Amino acid sequence: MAILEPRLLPLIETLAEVGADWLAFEVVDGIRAGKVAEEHLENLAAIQDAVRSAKLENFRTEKRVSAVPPSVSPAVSIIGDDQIRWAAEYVHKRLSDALSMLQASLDQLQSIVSTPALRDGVSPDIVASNEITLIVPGDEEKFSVRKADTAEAIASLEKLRKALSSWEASTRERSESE
Amino acid sequence: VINDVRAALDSILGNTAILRSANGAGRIFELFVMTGIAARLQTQGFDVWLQRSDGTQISAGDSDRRFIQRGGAPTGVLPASLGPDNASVIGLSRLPTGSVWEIWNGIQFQGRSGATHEIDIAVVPRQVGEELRQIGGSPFGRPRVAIECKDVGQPGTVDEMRAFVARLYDLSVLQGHRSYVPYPPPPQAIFPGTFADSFYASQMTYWDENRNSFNVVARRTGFVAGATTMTSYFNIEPHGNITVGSTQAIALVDAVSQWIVNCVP
Repeated sequence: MAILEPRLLPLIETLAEVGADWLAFEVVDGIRAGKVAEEHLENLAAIQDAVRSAKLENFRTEKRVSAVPPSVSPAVSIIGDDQIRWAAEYVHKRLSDALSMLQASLDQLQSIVSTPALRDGVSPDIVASNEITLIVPGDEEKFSVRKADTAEAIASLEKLRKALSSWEASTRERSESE
Repeated sequence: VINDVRAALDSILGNTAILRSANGAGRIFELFVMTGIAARLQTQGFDVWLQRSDGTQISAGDSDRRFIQRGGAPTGVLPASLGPDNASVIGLSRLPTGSVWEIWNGIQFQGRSGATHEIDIAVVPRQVGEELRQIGGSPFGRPRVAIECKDVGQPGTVDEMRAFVARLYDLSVLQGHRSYVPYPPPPQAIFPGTFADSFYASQMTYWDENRNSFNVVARRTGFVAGATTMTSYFNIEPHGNITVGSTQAIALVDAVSQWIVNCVP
């Protein structure tokens, strides 16, 4: 198991301070876990096919996909500068994935509501302006999400990517100069 | 330099405070999968609608156009009499048969043991939802479609599969269980009316029941190599790397919607 780089602490503290402590925990957990060998996407597709074909067949044992390795390889530790690079990429990708899914979900909710209205002859302009609001109750407060807010957040992702990239470069340079 | 990172994070989280919640990203992942399936079924000729917790439909012209996702501590279905401020569901009707279903998010189902098990995304007959909205409570039995959503950063292990299999087994009601489960089933049971109906009929074995339902572990990240054992035997499809626009996300939505198209009455 890798030892956490002290140079990561400013990023972890910043995540906690802005209210994304869950993301700070994920960064630490990811570095502790290291890089593990994952099922290849082609194998995964073959396993999905195997599940579907098993449904149609009358055998009663697990259907093996030959490419699946019989044992799990040990994780490869993430150490030194690689921890800085890994953490910067992880934070950006994690937020980027979540925001893309949020935007897609809002679009899909809007599409579900709009389709019958358009079929019933309601003007597309009216349908488009009648936006769905997503409400997600949390443990202590209710979160309200609208499409425009999500678009603003997505627009800030590029700023985050550049800032993380600069932080990564400066952190590594500082280490080399010491 | 770290202050630039802080400023960018503040801008993102200031616009989407849901991402300050520890469960926020996970809820978004579930919503993405749930709405993706519903939107796909809509393109395949199903009548699909958003429905408030009081049972009314959300229309484009309504002043209240809130879709409320389930959050906080997991519960069963709350009574409609509590009003429209609880969790919404997605309704779908097969045309022209008129068979009506609901897609639920994060509902606790009751198993034969009496324990409750949260199913992240479940597809159930609408009759079950209507009964539960009258009285409130957890459905008894196994949904026809059950999807376990995992938004965690690390790849999935075989333990995830074990936990899901155990949950589904406690929810299964087989013919052999009929002597010690309520029969005729209570109205909120997943087998409305009668066990003899061909689609809802209780099966002889778990093997048969696994094949009379559609079960998925869906992950934003992947699976550890070798972690996808116990899939074909228990009929659980592993779907990994589910992100917006990925071929894996499309394959997941296609697989679920196609099973519904092919198998539900």
